[in-house]
Amino acid sequence: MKPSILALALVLALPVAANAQGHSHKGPNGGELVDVAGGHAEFVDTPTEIALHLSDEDGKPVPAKGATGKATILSGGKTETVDLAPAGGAKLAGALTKPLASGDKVVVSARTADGRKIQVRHVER
Amino acid sequence: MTFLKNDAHGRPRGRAAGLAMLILATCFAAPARAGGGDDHSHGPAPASSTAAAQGTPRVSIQSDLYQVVGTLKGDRLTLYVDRSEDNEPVTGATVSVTVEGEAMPAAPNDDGTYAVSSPHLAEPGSNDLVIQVAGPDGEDLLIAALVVAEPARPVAEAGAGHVHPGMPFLAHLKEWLGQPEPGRAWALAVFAVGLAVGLALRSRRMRPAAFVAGAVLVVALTGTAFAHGGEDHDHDAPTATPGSNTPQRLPDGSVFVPKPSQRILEVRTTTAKPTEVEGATRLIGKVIPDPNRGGLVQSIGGGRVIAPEAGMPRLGQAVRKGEVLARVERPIIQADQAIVVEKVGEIEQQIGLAEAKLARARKLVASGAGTAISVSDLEIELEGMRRRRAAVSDIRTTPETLTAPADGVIASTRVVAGQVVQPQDVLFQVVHPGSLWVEALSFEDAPTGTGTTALTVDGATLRLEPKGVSRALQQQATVLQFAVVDPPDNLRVGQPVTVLAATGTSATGIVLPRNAVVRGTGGEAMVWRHAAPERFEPRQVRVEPVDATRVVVRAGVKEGERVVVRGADLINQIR
Repeated sequence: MKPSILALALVLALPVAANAQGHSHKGPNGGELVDVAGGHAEFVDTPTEIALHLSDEDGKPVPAKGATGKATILSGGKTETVDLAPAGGAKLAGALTKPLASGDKVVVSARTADGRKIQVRHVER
Repeated sequence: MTFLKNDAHGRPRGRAAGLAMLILATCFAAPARAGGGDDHSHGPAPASSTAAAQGTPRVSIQSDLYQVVGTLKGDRLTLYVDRSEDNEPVTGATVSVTVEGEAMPAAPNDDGTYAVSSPHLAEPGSNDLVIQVAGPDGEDLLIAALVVAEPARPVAEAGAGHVHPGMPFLAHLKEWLGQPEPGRAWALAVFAVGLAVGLALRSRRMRPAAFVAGAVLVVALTGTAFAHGGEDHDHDAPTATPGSNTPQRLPDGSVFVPKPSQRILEVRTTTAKPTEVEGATRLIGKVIPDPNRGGLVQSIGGGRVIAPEAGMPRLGQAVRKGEVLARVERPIIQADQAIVVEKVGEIEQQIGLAEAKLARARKLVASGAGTAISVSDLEIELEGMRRRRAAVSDIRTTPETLTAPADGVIASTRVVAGQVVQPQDVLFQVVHPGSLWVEALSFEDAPTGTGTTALTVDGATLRLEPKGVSRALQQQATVLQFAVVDPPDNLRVGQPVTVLAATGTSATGIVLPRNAVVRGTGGEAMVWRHAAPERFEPRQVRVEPVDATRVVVRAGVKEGERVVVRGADLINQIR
């Protein structure tokens, strides 16, 4: 009967998982906290850089060492890509040529050292 | 059970044999149970919800502006771009896809989709796609992961290496016993072992050992049985998912409708926004003719119907006021006929006498003995009597003429030539098709609001103008009359309509078109929520009518949710 219980748990967990997706709220660094595979990613932008702060399921920071990422910015009909690199601690950052304007859209595709894929979409308010 | 009962007072040897048989029975029963479990464990629940993803690699993303769904065939990705707001396909947009750092413009297809080809897309694993859409509604940047399945793994891999860690010995035994699939040989083996155990139990020396062996066997075999039920569960590879591009109902009640199907069904959505609307009550009504335009044609005396020169009027024929529709020949009963004959005879007799008198008077005038006055008196008398005779005999031949009471068309005819009708039978109804009324019954206070509409059975909407409210109750109901503004051609007198009369009170709610509300299997009102680009969720709602075309949702839909307004009934039929 154990496998049935497992399956039941799986079925029950599915809607929860579905709910979890796309659920976002404020993170500890003042940015948008997004649930990603194996933890959370917090998107923070300053006038000079954009950064992802990685944390695990419990919200503890995860070192960004070895992680790589790429951000695509859509601003005024033009796209621009920014490479993100580890910037100490749990931070994965890339420099901005100009600050994000309202309505600009940013998508980040990153990969951690252990191969987890992180996708974040952000719309500047 | 019968064995046990008999053995209770039987010899010890018999009891032992009974026990052996019981063990045997258990052993047989256990695999049987395992077999039953096998089918159960193929739970469709987890498989189908991901079935869509497993058949064709697809991405499905949405933002505030656009919904993008892509399906991969070979190395060609077909993109369906729709507006998030109303699910309308976006054509003429500039779409580009970036995969592995390579940006490629997507070429528009004839059917309103966009296509892009790249060998990177077909690479197994999870590929990040960055999709840029520049359309009439604005520009957007979306990101999604396209998961392409690894090439099929060997089947053995799926089954092997699956051992529960908790009970190593038993599990190994189970595997060892369970690997060869049970068949006839398996049953035979069980029988043989059971026989051996039974024989051993009969012998005094072997009995303790046999007991232990039997017990171990039972545990091991029943264990195998359970192990079997579980095996099918853990197969990761999906079982056949035929055509993932087919709409299907998912186990949680929601419906998967792929974008190609949505475009064929023309599924459109709207975003739920609360607005203030005037409440309405629903009344049952029917179409009646305007009493001033049209009317009934009846015979006063009854009789036999005679067709006029132009023939009997047919249904739908346009008639003018005063136009002859039919003639009715009056019946004359036997006694009356005798009186008429008698009267005619009497008049004829008087005429004969008068004619003789007149001839005599003329002779006298000619001879100079009579006066001219007496001749003219007789002439007048004779003329009068001839007229009387004509009138009396005409009674039998002059029919009653039935004419149209008003301009209009023949709405109903219940008569054929030669038919004998009773007085006051309704023979024709003349209706003016341009002026029809609706009569409705209200069992509560008569609604006072303006802007009344009516809904016909086939879904047409009528605009109504209030005409009158009855001061006297009819069958405990107030009668309301409305004139139909610009009645459609297919509106018929007597047709039932649902009148939605504004109550004059207003309330806030989410207003949806009536077509958005469909009936669930239990007859409950539901709407379909567009939860994901290709997924629709049923939502039970409580609705109240606003007018013939709109309803207000009082509960069940939250602000900002997208609800299907067109094609909801088609989605509702997907099983």
